[in-house]
Amino acid sequence: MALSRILRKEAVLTELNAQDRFDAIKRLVKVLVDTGALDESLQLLSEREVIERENTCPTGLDHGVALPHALVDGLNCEIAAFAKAVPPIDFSAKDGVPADLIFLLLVPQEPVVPHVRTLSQIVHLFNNESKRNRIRRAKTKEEIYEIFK
Amino acid sequence: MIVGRLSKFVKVPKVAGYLIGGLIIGPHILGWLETEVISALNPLTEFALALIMFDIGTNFDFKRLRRQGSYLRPLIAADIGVTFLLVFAGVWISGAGLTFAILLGILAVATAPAATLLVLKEYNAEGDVTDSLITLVGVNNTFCIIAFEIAVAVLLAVQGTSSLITALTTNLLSIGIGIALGFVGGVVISYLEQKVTGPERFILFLGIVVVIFGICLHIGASYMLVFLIMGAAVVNSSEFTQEILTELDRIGWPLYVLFFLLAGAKLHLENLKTLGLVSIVYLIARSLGKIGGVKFFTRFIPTAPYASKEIGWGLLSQAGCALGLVMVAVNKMPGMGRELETIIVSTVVIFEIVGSILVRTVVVRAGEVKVIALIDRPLADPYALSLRATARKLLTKIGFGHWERPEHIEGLRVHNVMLKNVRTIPVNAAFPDIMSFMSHSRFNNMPVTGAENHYEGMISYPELREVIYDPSLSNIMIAKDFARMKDVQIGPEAMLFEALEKFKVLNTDCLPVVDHETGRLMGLLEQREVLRLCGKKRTSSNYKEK
Repeated sequence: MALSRILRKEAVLTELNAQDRFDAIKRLVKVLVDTGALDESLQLLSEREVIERENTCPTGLDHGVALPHALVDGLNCEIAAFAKAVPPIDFSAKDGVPADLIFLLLVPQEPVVPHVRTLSQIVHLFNNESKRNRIRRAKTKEEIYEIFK
Repeated sequence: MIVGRLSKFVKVPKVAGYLIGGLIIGPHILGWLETEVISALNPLTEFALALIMFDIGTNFDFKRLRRQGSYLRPLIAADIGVTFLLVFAGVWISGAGLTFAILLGILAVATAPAATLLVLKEYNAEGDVTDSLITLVGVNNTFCIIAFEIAVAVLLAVQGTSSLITALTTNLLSIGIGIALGFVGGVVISYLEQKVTGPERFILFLGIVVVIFGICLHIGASYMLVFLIMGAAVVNSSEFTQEILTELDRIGWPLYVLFFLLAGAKLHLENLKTLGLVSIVYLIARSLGKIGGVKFFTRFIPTAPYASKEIGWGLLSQAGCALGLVMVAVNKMPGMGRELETIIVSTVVIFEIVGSILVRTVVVRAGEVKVIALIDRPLADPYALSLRATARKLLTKIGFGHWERPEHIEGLRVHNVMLKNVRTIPVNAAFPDIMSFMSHSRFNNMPVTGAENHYEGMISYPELREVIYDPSLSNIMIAKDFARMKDVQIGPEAMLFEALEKFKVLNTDCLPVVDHETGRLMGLLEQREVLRLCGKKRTSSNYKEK
């Protein structure tokens, strides 16, 4: 299943200049609110949940990718936002490489199975070196969105 | 059964367990299974292999193959081409003759169909890598059977034993008859299956396959090829393929267990001591060809699933097809045939056992196996507890035993009966650790706690077991991501009958006891304990009344 079911084109940022990972998370949650994917009443809760999850165990993957995510009470379906961070931000990845590809995922308190499937799909996409490179080379939202489709 | 349980305990496929079990009880170690018994059971094992080839053939659904074709074709070419070339070159350079190197190169291509398929079935693996593995095994066996027969015919002609035209015509005719027999058999099955219903359908299937197996033995056609083609014909022409396969799985397992025990008993461990240079070159070159060839070529296939670069590891097992073809060589050219047999028989010990374990590793790493297949733990059924309570109530009504109504547990509070020393899953526990925790717990739900024992929710085993275990999520998914039902909890001061009411409406075998002020987990209340106390309290109050 394509990731476009959870990610809107408008929720793709080609350049995100954030101070640290928490600032990046807040900005991505804001993007979701601005695009209408997330209800404003859930903004603070979402930020808090993702940051709490991040504090429990950082979500930096290898190869400059970060996948901040959290369960959010009151959410109806999975939603996501993506940003290319300039400069890259430290997400405490095991390989020590700061993340320039940040994919934020919010999931409802639904059964575990679909949640795992989505995360698995995202991780497999970013594990693919050629796809990572294509995303890094992409200049516009449309180009990036095409890769997620 | 013992071998099966042990295999799960040490986390190796049952197939490997049966092979090792067979090896131990076979003539070369304990001697419980004598050579004569193994020979007498040969037709049964051949029939089992025929059914396995049929099963593999049903994977050749043309519609699906067309969809996967873009990445499967290069993978097939890499598997067959690189393996053949490396083994051929390695064996030739190490001093063997040209013809010997060609034959060994062809034999190296074949992957053991039984070990591969049965491991995939044991773990209920599903996905692109699983499908690709089965297709590759089917294709490389077909290639091996056809190429080997033709190569032997050509070599005999070159040696002057027969004329090239006669040898080629005879072999091609034999292959053609085999393909035709398989195709006709498959179409007949598909046609007649429509005429019958229910259990008759499988009986009819068994009848036809037994007849075709008999024809194969009678005319000397390769039953492996015939049954592979038959499976492919059935899947592309019948609506009842899945029904047949389900029945085949049900009745086939005892046959397959016997197949692997006997295959293990036939392994010659002592041959490992006398592994010659050519055998070692064969081992290394075949492994490099299968693993490296696929891995290298996957780089150039953009449509290939990410995990398919590791498929080569799953193609290493070798037994049935190669051993069968070696016997053909022994019969037609005894000198070279015996030399081939020595190498194949000695290396099969390693390839078959290690190969079956690697099949498991490949599909688990590809994320195509559910957690349930990896945890050795029965599911504690909360409904069984409810059923027991209902039965007790019924017995009381008709005058046996004592069942208690909730009012008889009045006065008892949750903290009086809860389990205080509770094992919990740390909130930052990684995916594999969660599986380990769950496999050692007797509850269906396990509490997740953070700093200072703060309650974070429960992980449900019935739900977790349906999750596909994806090792690439090991570092990204922690217990916090799996924890649900944070609101399902009870306070330590709550009355026991309140807990009983909660158990009535919730599908859980235990409730977390949480201090509402601090949010800390105080303990765990078992449904079983609450139900047990109902009866106990009633008995003591009855005595008081008296």
